[in-house]
Amino acid sequence: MSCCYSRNLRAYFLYLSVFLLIIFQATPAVSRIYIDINSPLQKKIPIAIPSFLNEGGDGANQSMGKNLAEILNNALSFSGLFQGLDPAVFLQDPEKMGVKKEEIKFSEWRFLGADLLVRGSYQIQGEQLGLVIRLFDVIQQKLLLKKTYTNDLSAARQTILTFADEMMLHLTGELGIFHTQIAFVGNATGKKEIYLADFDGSNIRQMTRDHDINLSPVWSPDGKKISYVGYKRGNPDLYTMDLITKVGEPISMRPGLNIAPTYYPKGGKLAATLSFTGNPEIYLLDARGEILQQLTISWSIDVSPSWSPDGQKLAYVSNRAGKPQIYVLDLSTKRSTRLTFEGDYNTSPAWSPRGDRILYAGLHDGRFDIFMINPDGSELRQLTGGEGNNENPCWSPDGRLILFQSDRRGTPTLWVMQANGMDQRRLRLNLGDSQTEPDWSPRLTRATP
Amino acid sequence: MRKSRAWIFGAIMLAMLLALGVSCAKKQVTMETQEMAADESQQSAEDEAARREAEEARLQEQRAREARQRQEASSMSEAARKAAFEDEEIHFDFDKYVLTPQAMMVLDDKAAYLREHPEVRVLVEGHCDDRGSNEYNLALGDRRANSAKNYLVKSGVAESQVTTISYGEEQPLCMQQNESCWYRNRRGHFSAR
Repeated sequence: MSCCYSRNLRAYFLYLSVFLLIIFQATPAVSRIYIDINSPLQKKIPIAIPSFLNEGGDGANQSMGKNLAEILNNALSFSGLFQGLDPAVFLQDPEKMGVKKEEIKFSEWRFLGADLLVRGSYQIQGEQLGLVIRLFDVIQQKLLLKKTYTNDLSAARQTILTFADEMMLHLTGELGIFHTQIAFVGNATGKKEIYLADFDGSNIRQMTRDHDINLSPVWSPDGKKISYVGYKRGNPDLYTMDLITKVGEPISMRPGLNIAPTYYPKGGKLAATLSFTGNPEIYLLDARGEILQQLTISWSIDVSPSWSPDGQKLAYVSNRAGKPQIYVLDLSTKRSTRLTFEGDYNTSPAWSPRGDRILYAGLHDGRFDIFMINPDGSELRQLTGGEGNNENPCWSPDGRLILFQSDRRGTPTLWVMQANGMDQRRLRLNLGDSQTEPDWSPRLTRATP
Repeated sequence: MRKSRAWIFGAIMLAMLLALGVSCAKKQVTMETQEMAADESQQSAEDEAARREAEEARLQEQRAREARQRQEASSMSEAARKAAFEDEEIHFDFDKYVLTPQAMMVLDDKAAYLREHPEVRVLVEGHCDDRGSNEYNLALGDRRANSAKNYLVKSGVAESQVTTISYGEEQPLCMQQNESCWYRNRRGHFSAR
């Protein structure tokens, strides 16, 4: 009699395993890197940037033409939209090559595979740098953009980056990200302090010197302040630092948690998690830390808020269903709906600047990876995979790049990739130990006078 | 003729076998259900008995421990008792803030000490292992510290004696990526002052 029973059981498992096999073969999306076919530029634009031509002058440093070209080349390559051609293959000596349209041998540049050509010239007078930079369309043999700058020699990099931004505006209708900065937590001193750096990791500045734990830096929408969590008064409190005075002022020092700040996209309000009631809930605070509104009400943990760009919705993490998952709160209806159903542990949502995507970090196969999902729960795709833990994603202000932390080379450091997961590279930060919890600034007022 | 008779015989046998098989399966199911029902009532009675026994054992153990503590207290210096109070940590399961039975036993000792020493203030630190986001772990550490605090207060410790702080994953005791290290880091730490 027991034979019949166990045979039925065996058949059941056979059917089950065949069924599962079919299911898993049918949904491989979560186990490979997805290539976004909607990405505006799948193929990078090949661009040639020969050394800038020295047009004389009386100042020192008369051989910076190569350096100027390199600054532009590095910035454009960083954007992920351009492929800078190797100057070693250029057919003409940049010193003997003209700068005007009629002097350009377009057929040679086309032969090398360039679609675009940037031709710059410079003149140094005392401490002043004069620049004339032209952008040509090699295929159509056309001048697209000509810009003239006169600036301090010491601001040469900023001037080149200004041209890069204007070039992006001309080609894409939108400014680039070349006048943005990043904030992050660094452990180089042995304590977690808040740091800033330029978008590409250069120009590092340590902002806090508390010799204590500092976490979760976020930029204000006007780029003039950062808020963060600090332990220097013996409790996780919220601080705001004016980037000119560089003084961190406490804004919420309530008992329990004062953590996970994020600025409302319009105006100085912020959402943060407070636990003075005994349970971590998300509140809306004004710039001075006064509570305007309680946004979540549950018996569970509610943390890590991220606004939609129109400020109508808030993505956040809650473990109300037993495990941390991403939820979306609609501020008009006050209703929360669960966004993520794949995986047992999903955190750190980041709403895209265009509002059409949400990034998060999810645990699967014992590792954290970056995932992207539409706000309606459709089109889940995995952006990192097979290399360490990848966490805390954030967006560049143009929504084309994603900055995140990864421990794929040991201690966690900052990495950049395109919004479709391609081109993953380590940010060049000349700083020891770990770097975590990055946040990308909005476009900042140009540093050049 | 002979062949066809053999064929019919075979068919009848097959039909009988099938019928037997079906009824066998059916009977099996009904019998299983009955057995399970019987098992269940027996099980719950056994459970109840086991629970009572465990509870009895726990109480006995607690009484024994308290007696031992009283004895130790008379011989141990106050500093040594305080050190013992601070040394013993409680541990949590991954992504959980409910107290384990072991944690409750440790907290029973601490509650006894704090009831005897109403002048002592204790800071309960909630810590996590490094898996998961820093922010979620801060919240988890906060809930862990509050779980311990609530248990102490329910055990008769004055609420004013106990404060909490969460360190999330920010103060690990070890850095290895294995369960024994993660277990050490998922802790409630108690410092008296």
